[in-house]
Amino acid sequence: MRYPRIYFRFIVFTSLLAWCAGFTLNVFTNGSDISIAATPLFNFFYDNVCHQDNDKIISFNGFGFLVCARCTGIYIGAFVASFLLLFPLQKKETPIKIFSLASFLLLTDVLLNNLVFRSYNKISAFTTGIFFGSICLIIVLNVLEKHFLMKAEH
Amino acid sequence: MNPSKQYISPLVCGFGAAVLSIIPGLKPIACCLLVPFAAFFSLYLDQKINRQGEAITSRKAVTFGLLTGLFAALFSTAFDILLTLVTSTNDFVEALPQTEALIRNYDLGLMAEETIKALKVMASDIKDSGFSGLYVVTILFSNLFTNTIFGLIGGLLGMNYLNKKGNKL
Repeated sequence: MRYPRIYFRFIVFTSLLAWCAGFTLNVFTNGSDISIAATPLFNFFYDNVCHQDNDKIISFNGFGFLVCARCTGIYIGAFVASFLLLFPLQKKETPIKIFSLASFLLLTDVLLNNLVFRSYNKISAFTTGIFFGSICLIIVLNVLEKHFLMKAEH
Repeated sequence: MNPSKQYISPLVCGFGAAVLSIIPGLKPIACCLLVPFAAFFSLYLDQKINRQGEAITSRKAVTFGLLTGLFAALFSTAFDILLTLVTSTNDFVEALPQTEALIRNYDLGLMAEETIKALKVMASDIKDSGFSGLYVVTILFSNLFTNTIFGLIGGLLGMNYLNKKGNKL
């Protein structure tokens, strides 16, 4: 049981690594030739999952991520959580209260940033995104492991 | 239960997500949460319609999530095709000159030239007839890939939330 779980988590981790590499490539390679060439294709792909509004994108040295601050937070949060879950810890289910809290904070931030305040706060969007993304990953992984790995064991 | 009626809620929610995704001004707010929320809502609707007190199984959550994502992808591709057909332009055509300039700026050789050529063929097809087969295939695959994954995530989160909430009541 232990080995398949580790393999499964490793697959999730590498998938998230690939997903995060796609939208951060531009920034981490400082606009290398390959990242510039790949940007139109990646933009087209990430356009499905994010509005990619220029005012809401986090940039470093003139190169921005391909998704907005909130989506960057969600994906980075999920990626970090998937990395931490590679190390065996005492298994504990995430209480629904934490998920509700993460959702509430995220939605409040969405409403405040879009409807109340005039200027978009990238830090709060990124932070609430990280919290929400990591909690979602823990819950989804828990359900998938219960469903697929328990089934395989039986 | 009638099997054909069993998947009505993913169809309705997938359609709803596709409609909402083309409304200008809504996408910046909903962002990547639209399809997961549609999958969550499809499970909730199914519970309400069928008045089942029993817990949602992970099999059902996975099926509903994938189906909601699939329907959302199919409908949003159809809407995109329809809008492109009517207007003979879209975001891709409008952004092409900038994309081309960016690629040319970096002098990437033959591969970049071939990429630009393929992009130009797509853009000229859209401008001339409002339709490009290559463009349709590209957006369909891109929509299917992302929406089904996001739908699946929404379905699993929805199952977790609804089951735990059901246990509390």
